[in-house]
Amino acid sequence: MFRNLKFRAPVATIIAIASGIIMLFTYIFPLGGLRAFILDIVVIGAAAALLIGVANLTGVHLDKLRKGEKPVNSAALLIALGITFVVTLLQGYTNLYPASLPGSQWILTNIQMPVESTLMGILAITLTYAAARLITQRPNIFSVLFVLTLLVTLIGNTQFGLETGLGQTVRNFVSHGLASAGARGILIGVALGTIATGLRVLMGIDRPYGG
Amino acid sequence: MFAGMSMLDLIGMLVSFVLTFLVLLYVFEDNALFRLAIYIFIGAAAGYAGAVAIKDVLLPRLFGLQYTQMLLVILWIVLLLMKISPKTARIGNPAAGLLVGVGAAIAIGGAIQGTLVPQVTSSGDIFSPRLMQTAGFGQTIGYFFQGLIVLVGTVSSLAYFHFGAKPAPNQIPTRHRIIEIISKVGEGFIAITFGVIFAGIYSAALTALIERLHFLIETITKLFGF
Amino acid sequence: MSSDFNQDSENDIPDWLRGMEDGNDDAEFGSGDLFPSDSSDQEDVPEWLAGIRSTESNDEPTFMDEEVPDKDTDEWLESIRDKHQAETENLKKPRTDADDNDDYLEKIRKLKETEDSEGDDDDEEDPGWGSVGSDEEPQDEIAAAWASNTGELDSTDDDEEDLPDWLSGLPSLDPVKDSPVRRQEPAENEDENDEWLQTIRQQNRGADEGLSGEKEEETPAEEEDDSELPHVSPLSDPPPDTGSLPTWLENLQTAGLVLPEDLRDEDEEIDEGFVESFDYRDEDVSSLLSEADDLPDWIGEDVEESEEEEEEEPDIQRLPPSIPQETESFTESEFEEDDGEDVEIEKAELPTWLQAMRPVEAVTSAADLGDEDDETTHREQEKVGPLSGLSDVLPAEPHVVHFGSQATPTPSFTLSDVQKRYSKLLLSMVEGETKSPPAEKRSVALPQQILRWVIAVVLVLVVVFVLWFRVDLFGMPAAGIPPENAAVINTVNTLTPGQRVLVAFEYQPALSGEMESVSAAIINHLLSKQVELVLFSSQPTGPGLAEAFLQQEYLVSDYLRNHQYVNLGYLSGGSAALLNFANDPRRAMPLQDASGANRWDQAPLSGISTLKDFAMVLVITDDPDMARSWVEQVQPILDPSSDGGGTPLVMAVSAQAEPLVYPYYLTSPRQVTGYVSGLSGGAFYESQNGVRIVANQYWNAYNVGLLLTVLIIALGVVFNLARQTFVNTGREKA
Repeated sequence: MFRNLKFRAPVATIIAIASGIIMLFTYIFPLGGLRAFILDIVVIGAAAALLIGVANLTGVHLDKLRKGEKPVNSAALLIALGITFVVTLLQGYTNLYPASLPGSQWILTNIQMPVESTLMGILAITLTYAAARLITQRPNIFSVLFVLTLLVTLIGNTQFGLETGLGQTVRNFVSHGLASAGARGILIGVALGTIATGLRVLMGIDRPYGG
Repeated sequence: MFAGMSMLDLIGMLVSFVLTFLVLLYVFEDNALFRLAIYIFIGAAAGYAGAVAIKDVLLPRLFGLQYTQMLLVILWIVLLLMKISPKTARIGNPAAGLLVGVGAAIAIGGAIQGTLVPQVTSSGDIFSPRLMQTAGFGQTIGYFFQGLIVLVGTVSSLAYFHFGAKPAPNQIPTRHRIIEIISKVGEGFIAITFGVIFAGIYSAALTALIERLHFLIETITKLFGF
Repeated sequence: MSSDFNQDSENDIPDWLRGMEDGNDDAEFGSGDLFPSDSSDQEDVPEWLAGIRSTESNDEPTFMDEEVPDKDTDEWLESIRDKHQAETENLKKPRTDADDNDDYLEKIRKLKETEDSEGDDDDEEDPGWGSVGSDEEPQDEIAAAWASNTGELDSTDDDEEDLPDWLSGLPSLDPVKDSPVRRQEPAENEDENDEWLQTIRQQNRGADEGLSGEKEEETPAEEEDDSELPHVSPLSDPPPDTGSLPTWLENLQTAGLVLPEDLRDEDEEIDEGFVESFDYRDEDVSSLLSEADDLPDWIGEDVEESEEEEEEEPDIQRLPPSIPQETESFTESEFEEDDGEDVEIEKAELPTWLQAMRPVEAVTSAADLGDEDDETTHREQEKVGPLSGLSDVLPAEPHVVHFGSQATPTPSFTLSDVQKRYSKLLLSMVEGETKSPPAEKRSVALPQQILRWVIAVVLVLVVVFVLWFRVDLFGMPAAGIPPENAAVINTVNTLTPGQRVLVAFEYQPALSGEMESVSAAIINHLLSKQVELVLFSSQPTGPGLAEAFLQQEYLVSDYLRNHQYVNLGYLSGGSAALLNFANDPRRAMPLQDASGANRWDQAPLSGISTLKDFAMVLVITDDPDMARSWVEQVQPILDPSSDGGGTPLVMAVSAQAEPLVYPYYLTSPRQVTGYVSGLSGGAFYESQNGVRIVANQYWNAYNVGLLLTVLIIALGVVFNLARQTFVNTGREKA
């Protein structure tokens, strides 16, 4: 185990390990104040990380604009980003922004929500098409089982299924029976994987922070 | 026609209508108008998220601190912002390390106390004698088989994700035969689970499509007074 | 040395050593003859060596000669030891600077006297080497110290007389004497400076002529195989001194190796002072090493040609400073050349491959010659270290200590066409690694595209038809409400007016339509209970979505219209944010009103210190991972016991998250008290509450869409199975 430890960046690694171990201690010992302090720092850091992502996106498209790669789209993105950013900050901290002008809520309601919802709606068509061709792509017993379960569940969610009792049977046996067993296995597997990954970070084996 | 709607609401409705229509064109083919709509959406989403992070998280915390604490917080933010550029990214490694370390610890604590222990416990709860004492024979048999199915499904699903195999010379590494059999059973449970999840995703997507089409109809109705 | 000699028997002792034991002066160290003078041995000894022996035999014995060695080898060894010890003691004696200077000056004076006695018969252009005999002191203390340390290397007058001609004819090893600074002597010392060089010339010529007869005058170098000598040809046009040329190149020049003509500016004149000190115009440097007669044909031709091509005023060439000089032995006659004739050294021709490898630095420095009229030298004098005051030495400091990254010299290679093509290919391959390939447009087969279009058109048309005409084929579901839905209803029913309910909006705008249809009935139910709503989100778009949802027309409530609810806003950090908020919501979400007062101390937030102080927590989410985070991080703090105590955690989830939330509902005690999932769950909830909000609007279209989808999928499966069966059958038949 110790052979895999690499000491290329001791400062970042030590900080990561120490902070993680201290945080685990707060689950065991009554260290509420220390826990709150650490979590405050993490909250601020997470907000800064979000800003980093926005800045990176801005930089990428500024670079594209400078190079002339798809300038119209990049310009549209940057303009939308700038306007939304400024408007949201102005509305939050000043009373100077007129109410008659589109604000951040207007942008969210009339630009972001319609586009995202429509993209999700297109997914319904794509999923229908994919399900219809699934047997052709992967002709095995598990694909058949998958498609059958899909069809039965969809029918069980309809009024027809609910009124005929099919829905209840499907729900009790399929959704809340067989599927829940598989879901529980998935949840336990995810938890075990989370614990293993977290322990690797706390032991310094994995260093996703650039160490 | 537009009673109760301000000019801003009307413009917003029209903008939503146009954007929805442009995105729906993707069903037929990827086109420049669709991409333009997507780029506008990404820019608006990114700008909104960044502004909200500053407005709701950073600035309120900075204003409520003392001078020394504020400087420390600003230093902390600057260290993280060093990660923007590859040249200065190494300076931000300690700050990123703290985020990752605390996040890992939180994930471990939550996984153990929130998922692992309760789920493992509840997998055997159905065999609880106390439960069978209160139920009749038929119900007990039902509980027993239900519990058996749940237990078998849970264990076999976990076995499906077991990928340890012994390497053999000039052969593809394969799992142990017992593990292979159990994983096949788990694969069946996984397929059923994914089928249910797929049905749920489709239901959600269909609902979104219905909502968007409903909006389009409502807009046309309002605009043209149908 | 001597102590390591083994005393062999007489038979085992080599002859040369035996000779020493016998007391033969010629064979013993004590006689000063380093080599045995046995006649038999002398026949095997080369002539140059014999010449040394004969020369040395006439010399006064050295310190080794003082004692006549005994037959016993130990005695002569002891004598050597004693001599060595004596010399060591002499060396250990502290010498004062005055003593050093006196010695140094004395030596210089003596040298000068001998030079004067030999007369001036040299050319005007004498090198600066002759300036050894000047009385000038070293220009700086460091040079003086250097000189003092090497003072003992100077040959005394006595030593000079005893030295062989070939040794005495060479310049001395005294660096002070050989200092380039000293080379820049005034012209009055030029005559003196040229003597030794003339002596060398004459010596070489004389030696060549009398090679067979005068063995003692032959130098070892001359006796060597001429073919081993480097190709030295007299420079017909020695390159001008630039000062900026690297030493190695200047050495090449001196040795007769190239500069290409294009690098030399023949029109440039050299600084006279410098020329005067290094004026070898009349010198045939190659004659130092060889004569044309002794050179092989291919070298000798160049020498002859260069001699013919001598210019009247050849440029400066300079001997390497490593060549020691001894001016006393040089006579002008030895260096006399034909009057008025300048020896031209033919330029050597570099092969093309060597020219291509020539560093740019050398080329540019060679090309960067000083102005003709510029009398200042281009040479830099060393200012630090033991070589201070000297010029044309490798700089220790300025070029060694580099600040910043040094520019990489790019050699000018001569590439062929094939090499250029390969280099371009390699460059394109390397550049391609860093560039991301453009996204390829995925091409779909036309039948598949048509199938997708048909599915889209049919589904959209059917749904639009049902929505447009408000087709009511299916009533709201009445019976068979799921127990998890019922649990939510029961939980909300237990709430009393005024209680605070935390509502977390944790869904994305993409599924806002479904989530609004799922949670509208719950919100409406909560409003009917007159509870206080406190909004929270760990998603950036959460607060905005909450505002947009609560302002919908179908939620008719003055409470909402008047914004009487509290929107805490967004908290970043994911799971960390949830844990932070669950532990201490006041600290996690600082909130001030317009007047700056703490909002947490005002209604409806007053009295809230932890999440347990809320009557219910409702999480509206479309993501199963988000639901899991709330269960893992927040639910332990809510601590609902099996008897129903604690704060219930209720969820409104998307249909896609329901399979992964149900296991949390099954635990005992329940981690999730109840949940409503999907449009069907919303429809059940509305039906149970007797309201028709959003789910009611979509329910018919939803059912038609589901049934149509089932039909399409079933038809597609049957069709593809049949097609595959027919295809396989056809293949089998074929």
